[in-house]
Amino acid sequence: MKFPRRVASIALAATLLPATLDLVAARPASAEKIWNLTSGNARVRCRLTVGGSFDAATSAISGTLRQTGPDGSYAGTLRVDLVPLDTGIELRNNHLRETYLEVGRGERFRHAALTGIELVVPLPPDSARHKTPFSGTLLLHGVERAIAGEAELSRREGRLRVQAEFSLSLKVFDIPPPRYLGVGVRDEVGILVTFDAASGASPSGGSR
Amino acid sequence: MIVTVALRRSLGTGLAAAALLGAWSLTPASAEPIFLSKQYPRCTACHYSPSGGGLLTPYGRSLSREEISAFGRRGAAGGAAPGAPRSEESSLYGAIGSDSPLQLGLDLRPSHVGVTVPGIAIDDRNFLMNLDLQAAWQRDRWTAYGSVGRKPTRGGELVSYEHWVAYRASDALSVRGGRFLPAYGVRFADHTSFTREGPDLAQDDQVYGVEVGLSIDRSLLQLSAGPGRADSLIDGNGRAAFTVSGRYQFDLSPRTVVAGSLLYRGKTDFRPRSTHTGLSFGYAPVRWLVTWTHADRQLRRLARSDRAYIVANQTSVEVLRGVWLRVSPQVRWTDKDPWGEVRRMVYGLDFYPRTHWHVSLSYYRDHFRFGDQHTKTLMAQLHLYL
Repeated sequence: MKFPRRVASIALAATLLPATLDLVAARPASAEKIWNLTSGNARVRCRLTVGGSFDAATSAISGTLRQTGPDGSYAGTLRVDLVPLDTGIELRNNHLRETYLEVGRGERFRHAALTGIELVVPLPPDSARHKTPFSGTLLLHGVERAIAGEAELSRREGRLRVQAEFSLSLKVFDIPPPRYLGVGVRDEVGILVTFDAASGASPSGGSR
Repeated sequence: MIVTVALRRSLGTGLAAAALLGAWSLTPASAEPIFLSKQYPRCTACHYSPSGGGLLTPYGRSLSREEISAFGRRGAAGGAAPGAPRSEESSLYGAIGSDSPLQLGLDLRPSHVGVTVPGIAIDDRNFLMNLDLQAAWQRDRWTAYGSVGRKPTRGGELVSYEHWVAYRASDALSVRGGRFLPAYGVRFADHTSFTREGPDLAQDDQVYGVEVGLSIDRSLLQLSAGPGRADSLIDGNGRAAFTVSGRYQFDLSPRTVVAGSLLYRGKTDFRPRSTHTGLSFGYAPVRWLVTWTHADRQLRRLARSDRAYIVANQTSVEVLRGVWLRVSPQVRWTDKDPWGEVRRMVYGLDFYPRTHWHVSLSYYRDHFRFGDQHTKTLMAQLHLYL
């Protein structure tokens, strides 16, 4: 039995067309994927000059990220409100906010903001867990500097969980060396940011 | 059989009474491992001594006012800046400023102790457990530290429990030499704790020796070696033994700490050589709760038993600002001597009304398996650290 060539072509086209259309339609959607932060926290590990360390933590983290291309770059901002940073001791909180972070000096001091995030290895579409170096630009204490660290992304039921770790020098961000009665914080502090994000439409003006 | 039990009871009673009276007649040293709950996993944040206890640094004094005391703090209320050189919390109420390289402290502990031992009448005692002058001088990388006070025993003769000189070679490395209590396990403020009495690390068990401290990131290693217990060396009573200690602490987080310790003492005319190994774990899940557990094993060559064990926990809860409740179950036993087992339960309350002031109430219930004796001790203490 012999299929006419035209019938075969139509059958092939009918088979491939939906997939092709899907790909065409899907490409912009995946390239412009938007992630809205639903919850998270930022933890700053400060090492003391006398040994030991303490954490300053806050869950006042917000933002929206938009994946701008398949190369792992994201537009948008991760923003951390520094006023609720808590070290477990009131005196230490006051020193941290008022003397060193100087949160009263304005918006660029009150918040830390991470922009221009780029994953060195983009999140593969079919990967549930992914670890990669990343880079970005951090605004802190009114100063913008490039930072780099490690991020671990895990995907579950349409949600994204991100754990990013990096360290920074206080001096680079013009933060005076914290010292109080002979006890100080070392210049290099570690930052651990953890957040959950849900995919969805960008809230107006929220992605940039 | 009845005679044996009665004899054991009577001997047990006598031993229990002797142990309790001896223990509570001496001077305690203070340390606050409860500060792990405030994210201070190292003694050196508040104390000059790397193994804790003794004179507070200006930073430690500031914390005692701002974070421990129920009243008198200024951090949140404004007013003069915390840490102003001649603040209330400074040495002798500001007589010596916190910016002075010389810091002094006066440690007084008027105390009341009541011991109840079945079958023996013991009078309550009111006495001055402690009257010590402590001094530290710090300049650049050097610290010189010393204390002098009266000993509650031996007719109140003068004693210097600690005197040492330390040099900080770098941010990570420090060395000290002199008389000090070697770093081992967790140093509970209560010197009668099994974990301190068991390995002979009570209030007057300082050694002469040299200690090296290495602090790198989350790790702290402290090694010491010396000719032995300082008082025994001074008395020349043949009880001093070459002593080596090692303690390694790893901070799993600022509120979670694990430490392994070793303490070796050589043979003397009176005691065989012994080795203690200990594992300590401190955890503060929230800022008002901290729990420390220490497990200890002692090996020594004795005819009756080679091994002795101690397990102790201390859990403290800050129920109100400046008010801590404390519970401490402890047990010690030897592997071949079931009669040597002692169980203790301690309930305590610590009230810090204002900087320099500390009121401590402790109730001890001991069960000596030998003689099946139960003893109770109540200790009330006003601790003034000026």
